[in-house]
Amino acid sequence: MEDHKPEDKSEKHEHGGCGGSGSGSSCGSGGDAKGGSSACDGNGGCHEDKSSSGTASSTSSAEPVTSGCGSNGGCGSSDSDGEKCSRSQFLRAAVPCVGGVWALMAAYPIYSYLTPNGGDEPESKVSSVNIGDIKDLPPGSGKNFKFGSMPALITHTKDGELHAFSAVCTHLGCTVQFRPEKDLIWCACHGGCYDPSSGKNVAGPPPKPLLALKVEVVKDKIIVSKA
Amino acid sequence: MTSGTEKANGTKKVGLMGWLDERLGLEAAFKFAQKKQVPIHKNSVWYYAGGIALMLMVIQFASGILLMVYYVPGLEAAHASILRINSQVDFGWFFRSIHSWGANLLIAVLVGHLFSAYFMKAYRKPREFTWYSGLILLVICLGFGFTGYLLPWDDVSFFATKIGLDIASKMPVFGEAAASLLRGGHNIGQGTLSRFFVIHVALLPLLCLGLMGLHLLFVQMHGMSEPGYFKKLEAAKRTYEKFFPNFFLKDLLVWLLALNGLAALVTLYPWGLGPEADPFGAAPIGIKPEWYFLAPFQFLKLVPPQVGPFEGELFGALLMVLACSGMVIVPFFDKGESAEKAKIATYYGLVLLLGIIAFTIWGALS
Ligand code: HEM
Ligand code: FES
Repeated sequence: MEDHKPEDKSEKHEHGGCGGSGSGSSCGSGGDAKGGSSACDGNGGCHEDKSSSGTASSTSSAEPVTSGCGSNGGCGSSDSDGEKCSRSQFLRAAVPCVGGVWALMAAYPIYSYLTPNGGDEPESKVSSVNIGDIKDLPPGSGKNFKFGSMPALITHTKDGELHAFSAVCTHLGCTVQFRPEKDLIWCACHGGCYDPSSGKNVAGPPPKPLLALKVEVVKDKIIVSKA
Repeated sequence: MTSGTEKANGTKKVGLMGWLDERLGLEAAFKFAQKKQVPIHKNSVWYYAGGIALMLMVIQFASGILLMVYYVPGLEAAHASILRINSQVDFGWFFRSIHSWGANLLIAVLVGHLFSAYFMKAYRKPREFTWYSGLILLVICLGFGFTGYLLPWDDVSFFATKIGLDIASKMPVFGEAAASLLRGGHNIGQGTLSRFFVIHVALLPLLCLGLMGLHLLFVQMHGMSEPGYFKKLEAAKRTYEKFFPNFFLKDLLVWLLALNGLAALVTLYPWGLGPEADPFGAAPIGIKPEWYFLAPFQFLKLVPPQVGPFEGELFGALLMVLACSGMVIVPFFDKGESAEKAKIATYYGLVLLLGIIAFTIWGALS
């Protein structure tokens, strides 16, 4: 890197963007603060003022230069005007940019790490379950059971029919139950009610009927499978 | 040698204090601490609320750390470990009850603190950041309550979490992703328990400590706010007391009383534990959230399943967010320049507070 020495008067400082050629190391290499501010012309580019550079050392005057370059699109734009900026300005722009990119790069693996990939969840592979003897489920009763990873419910209505549903309330996902005294499928969370034969939502907040499952009785055993 | 020059100056203390002061800047710290004065007026009692909250927070940290020694955040082990804390570990029931009761009292005190600051208009310039840090602290404490509630893995906590996350998943844009991140899968299970545990014992405590530090720093920087009627008094009638040591000693006394109150509650009404959660069992009859979530719970019950193009939960939640948003914009609405706006802010606060109280009571009774 070339330093600005008083003998360098002839050097032209018209090209070279941020950190580009050696001149990027200090724009406004001319003189003290006052000299430097006058050296920044209206274009925002920092042109060396020969008269002052001849007399002063090559200390850069940060403040006036900052306002000069900063008001004109900042660093990084290397338009044909030959705009330049100081190392400190470049760094001031670069540090947040690099920091931001770095933060994004760090965020991605963290997000992926935290995102469940379901690897350990056998996604309801079960297609049918045996839930016991029909004798244990007299008419007018119901029972919760496990259908794969899904809570489920069977009702034996008074007309002697068997019906099975997903027990996941269509409102906010609580597990519903059969209430014999009301003859209804009922959700304790917000009092949603479903018809025990059809699973239709009949009262309260649930927006949809319960998902129906298929019931068969094989040799007195109740078999529930996906509908 | 240095102490010699200090003597020559005649301004600095010698001995241990002088030695410490040179290294720690104690003098400046004392000055900073002594700057604060407490205005004396008819609503001065509310100035104790923040202090009580601080004390309860310390108690939550201490009891929480003790609980962590025996608590096991595993699906099979969590409920059993709490049972063990409750029945086998010496004073286990005591520390667990302290933590549970403390959590409830803390939130109650924070709500009081928030609304007292609101009605005294302490959010006005230059205390906007004090106000916002306080709001976030309340949200963090609600987060503590929500995540801590699942940890014992009993039936009520299981469904409370289920409902909470299902509501979250209905929120627009990020709702589903956020709920799935928190749940750690499709169903509430080990993934959820682990995540809630980490949030409860690591993430929120860190955030909370940082914000509490800021909040207290801001309070110290700006001094106590004075309500309008107090400011208008002529100078002779405006009385103050020093925070250090006068008010601080009173603070200590109040903390002692609060601590005794907590200890009495804890021994007379030890915190219970429901049966272990059964992910395939029905939701228990009479299930309700903690009292501080009762108001939104009750409100959501009233919203029909579908409102125009919106799902009921989404609509209800948006309505509640809207209702509370005044708390966020108030420092920029009521800047103390217009009596009209000050009045509007006060009425809004009253309506919000009464609404929350009414829905909470309604939720508790129904
Ligand atoms: C560093 C601070 C904290 C730690 C290390 C901590 C730790 C724990 C642990 C290990 C549990 C499980 C044991 C149990 O359920 O009894 C728990 C539960 C709980 N925590 Fe915290 N906690 C902290 C702060 C808080 C705060 C500030 C709140 C208040 C809002 C809070 C509210 C709760 C609640 C409501 C429970 C459930 C209590 C129960 O039913 O047993 N915790 N906490
Ligand atoms: S979750 Fe069943 S009624 Fe709300």
